[in-house]
Amino acid sequence: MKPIISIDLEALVFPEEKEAALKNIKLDINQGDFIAVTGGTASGKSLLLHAITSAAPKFYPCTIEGTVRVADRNVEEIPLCEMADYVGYMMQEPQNQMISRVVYDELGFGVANMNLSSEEIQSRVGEIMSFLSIQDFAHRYTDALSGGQAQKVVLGSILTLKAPILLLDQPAAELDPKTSSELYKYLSWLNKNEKITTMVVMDKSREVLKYADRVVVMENGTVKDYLSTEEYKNKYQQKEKTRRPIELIVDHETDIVKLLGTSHIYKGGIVGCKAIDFTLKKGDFTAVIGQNGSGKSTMLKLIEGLLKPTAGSIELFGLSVTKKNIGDLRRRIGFLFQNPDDQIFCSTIKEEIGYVLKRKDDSEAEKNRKIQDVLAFIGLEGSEEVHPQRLSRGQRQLLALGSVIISEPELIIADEPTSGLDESQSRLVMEKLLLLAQQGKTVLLVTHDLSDAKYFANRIVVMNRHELVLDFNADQMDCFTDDLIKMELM
Amino acid sequence: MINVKNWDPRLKLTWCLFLVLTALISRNMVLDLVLLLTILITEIITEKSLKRFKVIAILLLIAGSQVLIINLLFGRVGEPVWSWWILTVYNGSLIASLLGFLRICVITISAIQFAYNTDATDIAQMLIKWHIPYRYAMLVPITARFFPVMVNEYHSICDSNSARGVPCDTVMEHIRNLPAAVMPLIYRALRISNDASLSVELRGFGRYETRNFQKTIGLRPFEGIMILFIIMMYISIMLYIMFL
Repeated sequence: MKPIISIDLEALVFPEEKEAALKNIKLDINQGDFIAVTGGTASGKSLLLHAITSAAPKFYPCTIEGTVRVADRNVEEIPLCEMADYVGYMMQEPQNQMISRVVYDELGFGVANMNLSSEEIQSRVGEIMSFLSIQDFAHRYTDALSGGQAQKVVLGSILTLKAPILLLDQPAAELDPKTSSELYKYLSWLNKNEKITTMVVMDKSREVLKYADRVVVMENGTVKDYLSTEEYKNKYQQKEKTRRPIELIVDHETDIVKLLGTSHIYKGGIVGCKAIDFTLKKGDFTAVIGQNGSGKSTMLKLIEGLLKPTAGSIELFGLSVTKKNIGDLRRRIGFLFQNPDDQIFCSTIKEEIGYVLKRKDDSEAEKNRKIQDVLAFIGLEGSEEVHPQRLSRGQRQLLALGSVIISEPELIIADEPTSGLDESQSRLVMEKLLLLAQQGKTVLLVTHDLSDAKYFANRIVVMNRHELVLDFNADQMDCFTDDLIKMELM
Repeated sequence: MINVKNWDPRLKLTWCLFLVLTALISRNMVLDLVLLLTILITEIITEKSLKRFKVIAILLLIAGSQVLIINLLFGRVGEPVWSWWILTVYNGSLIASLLGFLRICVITISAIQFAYNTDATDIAQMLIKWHIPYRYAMLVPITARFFPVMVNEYHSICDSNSARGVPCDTVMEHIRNLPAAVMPLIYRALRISNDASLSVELRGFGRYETRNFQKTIGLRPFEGIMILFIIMMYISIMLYIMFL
């Protein structure tokens, strides 16, 4: 049987780069294979998918030595707009890939380009909508979708093309465990029943390993291993994370955050969170978990003062939050956002880290010392003059953390800081947060990843349908397994 | 409520152009005022509210005050009415300012009315009817999608800046902190447009000469008559202004 994808790449080099970004890759993938692609930061996983679609070099100029063949055709000969006959490609960050205003139009965008009849377009879109259970928001605006919904819509728009190959780059990165599990089950169904060849860049949840036949392990731009899933698990998968004993000194007398019956209703009556009673003690590392849309981010924004409560009260550092003191209280909080790019706006790493110091009266020597300390902490020493956008997403998240901790906040709030990161990058960020907690900082983390919550935090708070429903010590997690399963968080 | 959204975009464009062109050739404040009132009345009839002009009204008042200041300082039309040191204010400046302000109002509000009432895909359809290749016509709906996305991006950047001690609550703070928001916004815009264009191509955009939009536009008889009527009205006003 001839492989459906055949890669024989000696080198793929970007202009003005000495090192090849991909090198010595020989890979044959048969029709109906379900392949997981994994590897460390900048190992070339996404670039491999770009090479298969011929986006590199046609969209991202580079020189290629070797060939990539899809369905026995050299991809160089296939114009990019004809690739839809062979490949459905979903990149990271689904919101960036939608170009229609309304969900229904987005789903039909590809098939409309193929000039199919209106009946055929309606039938394909209808079929995919019912399969992905997205009929409810078929007429909603695409910019109003949550991360999970956007991911489903982009996937749907690719599936309507009925291409024989699916290439998906971390398709579940922004999904909660329930939606992520549903997505992989669906991909597996397509793979088994429709014989769709599927290649998925693995995210840190590793859920894809339940369904993949083989795993491509990448390192430094080359395929290090091409193994069956069982072989991969034996060789690479670490033992299930066990709870590590965390020694945190928690001051049970001092409240850092206190929410009393706090609610927030957005414009249009959309409930953000309701009647939250929550206290965060000094030195705590608390993880807030819950499904997409459960109200976690709203709660964090209320604490940070980015939203005002519509009912109840908020106390920070023992003081009631008012319009007058919010500025001073905010200076004692460091907020790490989900997307580091929202937080980075200077042209060098040094400038970025030192941004908040501009408002302080410290001497230049003192400012430089602080910057160097933070750079050493986040592991970016020696890169002071590098442009932040040249860093990987994980490094940019660490840079954002650095720019937050330089002002020595007493409370660090992190809103899904590992979303979109692979396992190694995400571990790096979490280790730094744990280190800060061990240094006496109070950390409030929002995450989808239950294992991160269990492994790094000392307390777990669960939100469900906009309410805080569970609050327990992380080492008691096993006692709450049934509840977590009921809420589809496990 | 009349559903203007379903009307042919060419009719709405003709109406908008009529208002804009009339305001441009008019030298009469009463005519400009009538045009402005016409827009507001049609808006009330179709939408039962003037809510969507709220923000632009504030901006227009700011622009109007600037026009007034510049005219009072530099206008030399009419009789001097007030003088102090090197400054002399002429009575013609006030009239010129009001005329300018009304013109800006008519042009801006009519354009906004057109944009609000016309679906971006309808505009694309209209351009296709004018034999503009669909690859270019599609830029209109793509831009319409891009705009709210960038507004959302701007808000999240402001939230993030605000969390780092850069206040972004009042209009003045927004203006003061624009440089801190612009750079990340540009990066995000470049990244989004890059990803979007690749995703569009990989879904077969531009592969065929035509594309099935699943919807076409066609002028209904009453819309054709309305277009003719608007054109005749414009010609009449133009002749009236020219020969009066």
